[in-house]
Amino acid sequence: MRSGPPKKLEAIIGLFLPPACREEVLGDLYERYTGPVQYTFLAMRVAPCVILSRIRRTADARVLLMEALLIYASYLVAAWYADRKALLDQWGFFRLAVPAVLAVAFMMLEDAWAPVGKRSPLRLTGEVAMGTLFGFLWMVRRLPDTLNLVGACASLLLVSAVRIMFRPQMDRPQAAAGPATWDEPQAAPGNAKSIYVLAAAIVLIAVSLAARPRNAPIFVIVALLIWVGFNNTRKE
Amino acid sequence: MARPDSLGQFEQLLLTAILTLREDAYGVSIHAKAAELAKPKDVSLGAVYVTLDRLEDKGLVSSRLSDPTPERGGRAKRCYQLEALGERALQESAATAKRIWDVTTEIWGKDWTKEQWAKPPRKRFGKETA
Repeated sequence: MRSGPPKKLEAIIGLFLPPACREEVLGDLYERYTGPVQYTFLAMRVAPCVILSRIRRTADARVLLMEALLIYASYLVAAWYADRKALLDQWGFFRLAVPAVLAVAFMMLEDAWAPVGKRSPLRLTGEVAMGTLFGFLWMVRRLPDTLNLVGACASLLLVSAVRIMFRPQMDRPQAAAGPATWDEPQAAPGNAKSIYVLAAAIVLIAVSLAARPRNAPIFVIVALLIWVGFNNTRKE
Repeated sequence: MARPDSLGQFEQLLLTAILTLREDAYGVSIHAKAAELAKPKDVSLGAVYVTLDRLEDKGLVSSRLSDPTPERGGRAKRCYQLEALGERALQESAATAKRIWDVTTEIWGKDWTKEQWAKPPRKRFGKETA
């Protein structure tokens, strides 16, 4: 039997490949193996193409745009109530868009690395939490703490709601002019209830921001737990 | 049946490679066959993966994971096959290419291709060649 790459090297290369296509790509690289240097250079040329292709298959541009706008709006509203100086500063509006860009980019990569098959609402919420946490940590010294925290928490709730309602469908062949997932209605009665719960959560956040902005994260977390619990218990 | 979209040149290469290889059409073999068909141009393995995904999304090919083999370190291979839409798209492309070939050979003669392919293929460091 022909020799293959070292197991550790193969494992490292495998980390850079999305799980959905890792098996066949590593197998192809194994077949082409002639030496560790050649193997590494070949993997470095192949991995970006595979990653970009996977992102293209899993990313829904319309939903991502919705999520980015929601995150941006969350930070704008948080700045309005918690610290208006952040809006009035030079580049204030642009600085508040950075968490949205970072969070959406992180979630795109999460979708590309997600396992094939349906994901639970809790998992979807966890992915959004990682994305908003990434944006939050990046802005820790760049924005006032209260603004950053309130914006991140509100983003987490709103974007997780979007993710649960418009769930990403993995490995669904998408024609060039194919519809976004939300064009295809799924379980219509359940969606109506979800919208009511979401509306109630948004009202809760708005009231908490208006009344006591510093306690807003607590209300947001409570609303999020209610939202996730509701989606986990209702039948599909 | 839906009318297939027009194919890019590289897509035509890959569909031809899959057609030729039949049951043995997977990443490495498709890349080797495409490189052979594309001479003297180089073909990268990454571009093959991207284009295969795009062809699958368009419904021109379908794929399945085969059984693991020891030659691949116990890993499965993803085998591709042409769908009816892909066959039709390739037939249309081949018919168009033949019409172009007939017209150009009528004007330039049949020897113009020898001048194009007389130069040796360019090799770069670490570049794979079939």
